[in-house]
Amino acid sequence: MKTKRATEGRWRKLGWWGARITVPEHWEPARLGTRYLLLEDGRANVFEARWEPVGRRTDPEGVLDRLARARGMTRSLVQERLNPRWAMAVRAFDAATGFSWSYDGQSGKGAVLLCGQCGHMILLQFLGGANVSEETAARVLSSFTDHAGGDAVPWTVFDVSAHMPADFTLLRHRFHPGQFEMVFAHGRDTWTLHRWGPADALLAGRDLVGWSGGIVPRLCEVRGDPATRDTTANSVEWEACPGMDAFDQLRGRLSLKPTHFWCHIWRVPEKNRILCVSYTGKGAHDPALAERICDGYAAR
Amino acid sequence: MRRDENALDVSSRDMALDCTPVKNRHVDQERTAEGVMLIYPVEVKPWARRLMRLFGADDRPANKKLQLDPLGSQVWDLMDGEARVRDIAARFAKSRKLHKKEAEVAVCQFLRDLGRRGIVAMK
Repeated sequence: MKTKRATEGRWRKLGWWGARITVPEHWEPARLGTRYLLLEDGRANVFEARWEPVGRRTDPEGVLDRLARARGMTRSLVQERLNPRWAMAVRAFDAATGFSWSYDGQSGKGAVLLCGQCGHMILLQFLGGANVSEETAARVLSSFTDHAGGDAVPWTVFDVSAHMPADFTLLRHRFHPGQFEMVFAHGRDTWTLHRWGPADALLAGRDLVGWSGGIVPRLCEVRGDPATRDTTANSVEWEACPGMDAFDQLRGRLSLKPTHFWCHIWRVPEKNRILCVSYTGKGAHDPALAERICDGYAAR
Repeated sequence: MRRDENALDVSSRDMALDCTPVKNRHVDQERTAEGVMLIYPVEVKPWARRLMRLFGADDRPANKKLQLDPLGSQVWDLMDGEARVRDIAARFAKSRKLHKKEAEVAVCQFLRDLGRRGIVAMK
């Protein structure tokens, strides 16, 4: 690792599965998983983070031993004390040990940490080819937190940022060019964050209602045709729910499938994006919760 | 410990971004209301050509048309034979306010599709 490279340049915050970290602006997610984050700098993978609940009795050294044995890396993985700078950066954690490895032409250097508050075992490592300076590494390490305080969890990746209630669980995600999607479960209901872009090309002269009329039927998984409400130039809401007659109401109650759909689609002209929060569930959506989610969702 | 399984993916994409796309000089283009329409020759396989000759059919290379949407047309116009894929993606991202990586992935995918049809080559 280089030791004299300054940590100048811009930095950005990432939030994923409760964890938050601040990294150089050109570091982007290369792979996202359940409590897992792999970042690249456009040339190589630079940083990996994994955090899992293991309970409070596990020690970091034992975790490293098990990992090394599981990966057949007992010879290539070396446990070591954290250097003073790194030790200072991760002092908020209850236990910490350092490690380095070199295997099959690749290498890495990192730390295994134990969070006493939530019982997470955390593995953070900087990957070999990246030439991350000690200063940058220390700043990245010191910014890492594995659990969000309060009742909202930040989900901040690529150019979207959302604050979702802490009891929401990410079911699946998709970050394809032009279309992002994060689907959260809340009990038996699902809340989905969508992002489309570039808005000017997608709309192509149409208004938001006209464009969303082609999108919403694909999002709506319930019986019935969605209808618009609360329409403005840059914002539209759609809703679908069982009919008012007794037969539709009874069928809705007996059905195991979701019966209510709601979504709010809005355009962010200055970012050239279209954002959407959609709800699918057995009952009508909670307007206060919907407003809270919409308020916390933005294009960066 | 998780091995750096994605290292090859990232470095190969990095190499691809440093390539320069060059338009096939046998490709004609027309401006339409939707964007650029490309007219490109389709090579007939030798065995098919022999078969066509046998039945007296015209065995000259046929032309196909490909209508690009406004985004594809913009990328096509950014290809000047000098700009690297990285530069094209950066200009595309800036003009459309796209995320850098998103633009890179989209432009690479688009150029790969054109390359498969023999419309562009990489140097």
